[in-house]
Amino acid sequence: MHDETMSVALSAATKVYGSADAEVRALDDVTIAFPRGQFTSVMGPSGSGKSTLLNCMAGLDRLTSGTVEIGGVDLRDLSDRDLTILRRTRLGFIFQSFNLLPALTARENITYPLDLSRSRVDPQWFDELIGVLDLGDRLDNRPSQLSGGQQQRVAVARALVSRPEVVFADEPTGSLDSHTSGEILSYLREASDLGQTIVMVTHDPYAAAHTHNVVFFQDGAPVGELARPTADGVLDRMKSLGADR
Amino acid sequence: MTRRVVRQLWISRSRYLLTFLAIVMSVGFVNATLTLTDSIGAGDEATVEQGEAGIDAVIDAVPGTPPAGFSGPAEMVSVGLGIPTSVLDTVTADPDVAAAQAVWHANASLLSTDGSIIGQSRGPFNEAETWITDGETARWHIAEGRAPAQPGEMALDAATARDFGVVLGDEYRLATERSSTPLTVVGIARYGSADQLPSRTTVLVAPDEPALIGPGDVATQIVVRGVPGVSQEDLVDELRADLAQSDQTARVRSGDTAADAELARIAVESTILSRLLTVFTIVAALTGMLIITNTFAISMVQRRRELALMRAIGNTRSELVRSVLTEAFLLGVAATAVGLALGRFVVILIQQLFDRAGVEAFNGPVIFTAGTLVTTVFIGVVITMLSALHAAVSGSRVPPAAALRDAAVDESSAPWWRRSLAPVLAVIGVVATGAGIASQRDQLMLAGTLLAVIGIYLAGPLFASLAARAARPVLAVVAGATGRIAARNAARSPRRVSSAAAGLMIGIAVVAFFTILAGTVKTLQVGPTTALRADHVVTPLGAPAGKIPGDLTPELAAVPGVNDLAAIHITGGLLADPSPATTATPNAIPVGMIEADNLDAVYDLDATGADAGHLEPGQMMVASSELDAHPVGSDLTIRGVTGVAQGTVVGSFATALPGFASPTVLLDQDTYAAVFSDPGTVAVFLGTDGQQATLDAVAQAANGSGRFQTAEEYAGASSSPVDTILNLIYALLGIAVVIALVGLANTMALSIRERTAEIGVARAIGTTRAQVVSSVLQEASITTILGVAMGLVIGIGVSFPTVTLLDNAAITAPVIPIDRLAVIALLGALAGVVATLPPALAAARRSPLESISAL
Repeated sequence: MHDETMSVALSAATKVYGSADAEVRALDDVTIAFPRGQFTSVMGPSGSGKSTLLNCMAGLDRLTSGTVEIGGVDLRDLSDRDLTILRRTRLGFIFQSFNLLPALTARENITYPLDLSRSRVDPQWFDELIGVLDLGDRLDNRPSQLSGGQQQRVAVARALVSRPEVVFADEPTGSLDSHTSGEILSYLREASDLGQTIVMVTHDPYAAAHTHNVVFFQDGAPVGELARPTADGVLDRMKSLGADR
Repeated sequence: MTRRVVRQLWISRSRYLLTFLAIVMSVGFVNATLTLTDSIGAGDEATVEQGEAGIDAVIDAVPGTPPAGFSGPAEMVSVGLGIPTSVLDTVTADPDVAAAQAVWHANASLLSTDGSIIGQSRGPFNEAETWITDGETARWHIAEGRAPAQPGEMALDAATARDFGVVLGDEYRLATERSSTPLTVVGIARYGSADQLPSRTTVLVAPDEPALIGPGDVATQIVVRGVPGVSQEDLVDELRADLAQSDQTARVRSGDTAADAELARIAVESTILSRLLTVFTIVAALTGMLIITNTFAISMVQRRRELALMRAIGNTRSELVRSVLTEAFLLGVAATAVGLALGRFVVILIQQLFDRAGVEAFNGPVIFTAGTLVTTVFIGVVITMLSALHAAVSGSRVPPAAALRDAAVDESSAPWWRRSLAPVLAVIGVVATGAGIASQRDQLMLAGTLLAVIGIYLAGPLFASLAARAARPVLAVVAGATGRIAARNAARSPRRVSSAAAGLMIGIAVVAFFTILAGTVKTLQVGPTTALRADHVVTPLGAPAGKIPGDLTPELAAVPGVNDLAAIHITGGLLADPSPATTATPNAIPVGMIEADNLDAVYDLDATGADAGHLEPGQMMVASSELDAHPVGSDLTIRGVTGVAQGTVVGSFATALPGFASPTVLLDQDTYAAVFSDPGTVAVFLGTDGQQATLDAVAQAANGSGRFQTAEEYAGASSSPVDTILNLIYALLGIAVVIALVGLANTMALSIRERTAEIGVARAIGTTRAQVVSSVLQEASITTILGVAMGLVIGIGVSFPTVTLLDNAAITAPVIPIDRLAVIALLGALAGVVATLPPALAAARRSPLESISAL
């Protein structure tokens, strides 16, 4: 059953690494959905399965069992090629280490996913993004000529330019100073307030505080949520998670 | 430390596999070509020394100096000249002479009754020679039967007899320049202790066999044996004194000196081959060194992080360099050992190849010299270590922190001196080459060409970034984002692109060069075919230097239905200086004569000033390329075998004539007959009425003397010997090109590997596998096209000065076979792209997650 209000839905998702004796259940029977238009952060200690969750939702990794649906499309049914095209057209990515393509200019990096399928860039949307992210005078520079914050803003623009169903962000502020981090998170929050679904993996309570909702993960499964989080509230919950162990 | 290095090598063996492969292939091919060069004709020297052992002195005619640029032995161009047999009386009168005999030598074909050639497949230079009756002097000795004593009898070398099942009593025809004569086999002979002269069939005939003896009683040579106790030197001095008055043209040489010359004469094939092999060795060595250097440079960039880490935890730079060097040494030694084994395999392969083509150059032992070992080890170990040293020093210079932080992609461009020096060198080189050609100064021209080639090579990175920049808009339109990223990636490391392209460049340049050269040489033969208006042609049987028996022409002219006939005669003469004061050695030139009533009906000589078929005595025509040296109205003196021709240039001709070398000068019939003893008929062009009866009669007359062909068959056949050699060259170069391609694949594989994370990101954000492959292939195609284009430019460029070196009257500019070059370019480009396919597919196959985390 597809729920129109959900961008991403996992059902009984299990991911097992290794075999037999050395088995690691990175995801253990996870059923969770991320509502459309919401900025959600996924938090948890190292090894809690949050990165695996992100990779499986993004079609970069396959589940051992269970399903992932993106906008109603079951990823199980897709070939590698279709999965790739889905990533290109319906998903956006923001990585910790920016991961821009060094050979391309900022502009080319931003439009790359659209160029791949030879889709037209919506010039109004592009200009709006560039304006908001303040990249106007940096478009013809290559990544190596940009600061970390600038690079991550380009990455944000790249993730948003195709108006994807959902943007996945993996520790997007992990390599940035606190001021720049704040900027990036404000941009993301702004985008989600305009209706963009965003799922962000982080272990930074201050980053999580920018989101609508926090999902806590432990031992491969969600163990709680916190709506309208504050940094202190998140910190408390994290401490209690640690204490549970 | 060594143990740690060995472990390091083993752990990162997949990274070194490609470097290892590059070294193995380079070492293997260089080793093979060097071994072959040494092995060519290795047994020939001993064979000839033994065969000629009984001869103390040889008297023949003073040879002319060969024309500039002629690379064969001098004997080849002056075979037409001989020594009058009248000299024999003076020689035998000398008390120091124990025995002396006139000997005739001729290119000849032995034909069975059905017209098939005996011995043709054993080498292109089959010969007939006079039997030397004095047993102590004799080159040949009877192994079975008896020596030929009467005209009509022959002995055959034992190798040919064995291979063709020739037995005593068999009858064959001997086709020489003079005639086609039936002979009976009375003996099987051996040369010294060998079954044959290297790579050729020899027919031995009686001393007075008319098939070999000319009307002028001029022999090829007189062989002399001295009385015991007289040294070769004394005998030579004695004979020189004897002949000083009677014959100015006689040349006396000691038996040992003459044997060396004989070796050079029969080793023509080997000489040409070993020169070719030397070229291949250089090509292989250069390509190999480039690839090794390149592979090391790239793998070291990849290791920058690791090196930086080692420095960060306290290793000094010199320790790092030392450990890298040890690695390179071990790698080099291992790869060289494997390469040596591979080389032996390639030797066998190439021997097979030559055998298939009917070229017998390697019948001696395989010789592996210390020089070969040194060169091979130099390339495999020293070059590898130098490459590693360069890479390690520049790699360790990077501050550790920077290396740890940055992605390990080599984005270095060429140093400033290279960027600015390269175009300067290239321009100076081209200008010097042009000036050298214009002023006919060969040294200047060659130096210029070398400079230009080096300049173009050094300008590689410049061309690479230009090519990448030029490709970007094109690829962006054709292939969109993948095209743009391919072009951008190529532009990132212009130096690497250019060094990967350089291997291909060398391969393509040499292939293109030989193709152009072969195409140009072919016009010597194809030129005649386009000018041909005759419907039928009779050409010599057998050897490329063969002649049609002189008695055939009148027979053909007498056949009813043959309306027009032109017999083309070519022989060697000496261009004498008109001023008697000069003592300079005269120039040997090809001299021709055309026997024809209506030449225009059968051949378009493109003549001006006179009709070559109807020259009056004293009239001469020159090739139009010689008009500068010998303008119309100037006088010429040409010395022949039996006399001296003097005349005035009355006209010129532009079309080349068929045969080994197109004539520089044409004489009238009477003078030609008076001055040269042999007719030297190289082709007879026939204009017939086309009736079957006529053709049958002509075929009947030509049977056993010449090859009777239609004009179309002739056009097809005349290019085949050049094609055979060219195909051999292609096969050898093919191996060098394969090495270059491995290098290209290597470079791409390593480039891709250092960009693994990037490819992972690209995959994650939506690049399909097909798009990854396409992008890599597009990038490779930029490299490939650059290499092919530079190769073509160099190949074509170098062919211009080379052609002027040939100094052949009939060749003024290289003929550029565009269709063939297009095929070569296309194949080269295709092969380059195909070679990149495996690393491209491997890159695409990796999962994006795996790739992203590869850093």
